[in-house]
Amino acid sequence: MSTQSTEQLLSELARDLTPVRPIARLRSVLLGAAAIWLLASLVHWALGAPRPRTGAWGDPAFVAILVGLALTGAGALLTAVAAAVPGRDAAVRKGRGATLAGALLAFGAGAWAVALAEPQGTPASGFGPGLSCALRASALGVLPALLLCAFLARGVAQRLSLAVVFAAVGGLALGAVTVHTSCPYGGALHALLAHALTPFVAALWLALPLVGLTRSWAGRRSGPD
Amino acid sequence: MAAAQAGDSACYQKLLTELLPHVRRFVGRRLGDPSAMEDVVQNVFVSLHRARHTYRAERPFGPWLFSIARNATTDQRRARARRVGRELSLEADGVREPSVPPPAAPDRALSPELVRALEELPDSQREAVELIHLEELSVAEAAARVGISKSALKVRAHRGYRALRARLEG
Repeated sequence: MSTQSTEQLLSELARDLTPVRPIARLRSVLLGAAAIWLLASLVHWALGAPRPRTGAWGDPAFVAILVGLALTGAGALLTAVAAAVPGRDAAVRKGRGATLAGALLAFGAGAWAVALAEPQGTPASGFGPGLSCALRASALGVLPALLLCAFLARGVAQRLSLAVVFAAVGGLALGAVTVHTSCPYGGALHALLAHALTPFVAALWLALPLVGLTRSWAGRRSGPD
Repeated sequence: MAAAQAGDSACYQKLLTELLPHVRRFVGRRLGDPSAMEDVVQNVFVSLHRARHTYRAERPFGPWLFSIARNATTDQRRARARRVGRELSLEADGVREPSVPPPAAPDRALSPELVRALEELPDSQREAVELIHLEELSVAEAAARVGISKSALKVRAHRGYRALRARLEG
């Protein structure tokens, strides 16, 4: 391959140049996702969902799960947006670290609470409340995840599917934060399975359609020119 | 780069020319195979061109550029490892080079709209797109088949994709 042909390629690229709109700031996308989540949470409460509980704030396990979920959400969303843009490797690493730390905190606190809980015999709540919380968290989390998928479709992520999985986990973790603060059902096992685990379990099934959708959006755009 | 994003070709040409020695040095340091260097350098610039909208003027340019260069180098290494693995596996199976080139991929996988759009392309662009995407040749193989340089083939394919997209979306 001659160096002359490289110079010819550069001339061709310059000749083919068309104006492009720079991609949005990562900070703006993250703030947008947070705003969508807050708005969705307000609408969800306005539509009659259980209001935030104040009595549980004294419970360290409750607070630890809440902080863990919030950290997971922020870290996973940061990982997803930073992956869309070249040169943001440090942000991707920080985001992954925060996601892992948040997940460990939420699971650890949930498991600790389950271990300390009094044996209750047959669980009073059953499967329905768990499913209800998981579905609410998914519904609240899918909107910020969609915003991130739109951003990922415009970006140039090396591993698009993995970035979409992080977007799904991040959105669902934010949804789980809302659900965790306003869950009408008690129980340590419920908090562990239906709140702390939801972002990861629900992301497994949500990621597939989101990856397809993001690829379709990216294919439609397929480069800036 | 901000001027290039606004569509200033002269600035863009100047920028690319100034970047060329830096990119060559970067790729050369990371790539074990000097024969593949110029090919990777070209891929870096094609990737840069396609990703130019992801640059933000308030961010430093170096990490953005060298992240693209690093990804292109990694892709080249992976592609080479896959190719070597395939060749070794064929040798192990006793498979010989076919004397007749394999037939083109059947047209049944293509939508009628895409077939029509392909037919409307200039011959040179259609040939480049077909060789790379339908016959799944590497850029080097496709360039050798047509008898032009790899960079010329990449340019033809790039223009072909753009024209196809415009036709399919229009």
